[in-house]
Amino acid sequence: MKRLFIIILLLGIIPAAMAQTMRKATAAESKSMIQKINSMAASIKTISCSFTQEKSMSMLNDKMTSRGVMYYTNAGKLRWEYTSPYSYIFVINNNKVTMKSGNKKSTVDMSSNKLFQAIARIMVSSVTGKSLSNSRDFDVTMYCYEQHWTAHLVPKEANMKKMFKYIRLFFNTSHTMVFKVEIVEKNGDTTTIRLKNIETNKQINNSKFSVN
Amino acid sequence: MLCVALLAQAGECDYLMHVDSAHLTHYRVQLQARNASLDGVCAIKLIDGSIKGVVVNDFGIKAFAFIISPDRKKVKLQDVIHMLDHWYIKRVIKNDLKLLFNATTSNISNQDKKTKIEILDDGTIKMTNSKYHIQYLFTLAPETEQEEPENQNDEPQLIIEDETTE
Repeated sequence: MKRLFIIILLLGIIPAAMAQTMRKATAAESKSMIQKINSMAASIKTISCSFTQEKSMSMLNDKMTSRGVMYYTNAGKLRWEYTSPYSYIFVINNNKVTMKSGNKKSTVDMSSNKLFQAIARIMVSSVTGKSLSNSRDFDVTMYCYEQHWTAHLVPKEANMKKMFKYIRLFFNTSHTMVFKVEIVEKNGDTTTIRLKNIETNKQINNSKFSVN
Repeated sequence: MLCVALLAQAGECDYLMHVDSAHLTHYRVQLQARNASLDGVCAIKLIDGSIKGVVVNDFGIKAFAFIISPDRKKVKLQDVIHMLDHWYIKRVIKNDLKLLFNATTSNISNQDKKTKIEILDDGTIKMTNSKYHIQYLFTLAPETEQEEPENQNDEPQLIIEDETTE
């Protein structure tokens, strides 16, 4: 009976203790965090990393996992490539988006396509953490955890609101760099992207930003 | 009774779209319409007799989810992305899904004239809705290895170098 009482007590305490680790940042803290993130983002010339993407699907009570690599330069070039379980390449270069799925390749001019402009802007912002202040796409709230910060992004634009409840960017407090992106849909299904083996300011061959 | 069960089982195996109750079945999907296209994945599973599926684009953004009744006569769409969330588009998608999931190796040649289903050399299922000019390609994706569970608290390894870029 005593043991049962202790278990019940622990079950009550553990969630409460976990909840305490997350705290909404004060206005001054938010400003300081965003300044540090922007400062780090400004010092980054290139990023290369691998990633895993896990999508939970509540209706199927299952998840889909894919893996890939990412390359970014502050000249506005980005390569987002899925390598497993299938190949898909998305490259932003010279104001053009090139996509390759299997043998099918297509290119879109971003200057004439607002949707792709928004996609590119959000992808780059999500990876670098840029534009957290005065974001035109999201209302941003910062949270503090013990070992990381979180930017909680609620979409402003009507169509984005229909798709996503919110997006969370997780920053490592020591490097002020994004290491995880969580995209939560209206029905609660979540896509989690974990960036791994992150290397910054390492030379990236230009060929990474073209698609054959 | 046993005969009925065996016949029912034989019928299940005859369907073109493979669906399993134990695992997710993944199909690569290419949808081509007049002014739009979608490349992504269709994940399906048999749950309590119903076929449940989710179609996501290559970035994992959900286009729509669907539920097909155990008798395969009713199709319900949910979580439809705003671009497709119009009654006339949903009606076409529902009708096409119904045809697709009712297509068997034996009835493939007797399909609706407006919607033709064929199997390409690589096993891809091609469905062409000539009335609305929509083409669907479903290619069975190879089974992926069981993923190792991720450590949620893993801090990423960060290497900062200062080499000259390009």
